[in-house]
Amino acid sequence: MASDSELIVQFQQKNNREQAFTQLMQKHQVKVYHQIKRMVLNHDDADDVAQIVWIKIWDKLDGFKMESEFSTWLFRIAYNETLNFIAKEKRKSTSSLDQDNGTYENHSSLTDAPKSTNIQIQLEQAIKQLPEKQRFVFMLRYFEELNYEKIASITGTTVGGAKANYHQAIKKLEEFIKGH
Amino acid sequence: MEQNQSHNELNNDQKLAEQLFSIESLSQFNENALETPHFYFENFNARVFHKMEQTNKSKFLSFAFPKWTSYAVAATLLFAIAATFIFTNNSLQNQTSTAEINIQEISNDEIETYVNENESLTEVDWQSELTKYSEHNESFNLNHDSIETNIE
Repeated sequence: MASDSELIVQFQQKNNREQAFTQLMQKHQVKVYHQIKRMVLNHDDADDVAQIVWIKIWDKLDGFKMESEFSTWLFRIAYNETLNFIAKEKRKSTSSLDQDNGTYENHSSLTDAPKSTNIQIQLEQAIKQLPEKQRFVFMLRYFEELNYEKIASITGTTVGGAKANYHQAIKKLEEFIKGH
Repeated sequence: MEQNQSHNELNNDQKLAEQLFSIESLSQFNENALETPHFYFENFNARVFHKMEQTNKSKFLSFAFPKWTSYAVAATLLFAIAATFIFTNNSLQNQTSTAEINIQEISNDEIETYVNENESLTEVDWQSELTKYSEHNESFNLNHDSIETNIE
């Protein structure tokens, strides 16, 4: 299979653009989807955001100068689109029914899963109450096992900032467990 | 060496989370989060291209007919109606004032001349004229009795 940069060159030279783009999608679609799904927790929402991300990639790929890794750039766009989606959902929920505490109540599929136990539900609630950036960093570090350099590039922060976000997330998870 | 250090750092970070939640529950959370409908990824690219087509169409439509188009059309219609009304109103006013101007433009001398020339018409003694006419034409008798007789 061709490398990312070969496919990008093919796309930018307008040589079988669709084919090159399809291959890029096939290489990265699972990771992009997982990154989004861990944040929004609902398949339909994750699907919507993932599609928007790939449409943005198509629109912007001509301007990609390969100064960074394609995957970092891709995950950064996915990160931004996910945050946009969550912000929109928060606005919707605060302006409609969910005015009790003003927090984003996404329609998680996890709590409905038959495998869910009390611990699972508690874990999900603990992760959901984290601020978005900390939640994102926690997911990328713990589940994706990314190094802090890459996390910093994706979230648009410094390495120190990314480390601080991870440790703050751990602290908040701990506080949540103590409080429940 | 650097890779080892990085790996150790990752392990340490993961252990922090595992002290709070068991590895099993964390991995279960991850598995649940990553569940997807069957064959979801197999036709994902087709759906993206389809959505792209739809987005491009709507982009084209919004480019061809931007949001302000309806306002522009309404404003143009309003302008056309207002312009027609103002134009019609002005032309009527112009006609009236033109007539006024025309009368005013006639000099007093011209008016006097006209009246003097047509004075005979206003001062005609119609009774004597009719009598003269009936004398010349005997059959034309316009006295009151003859008219009544003719009607009967």
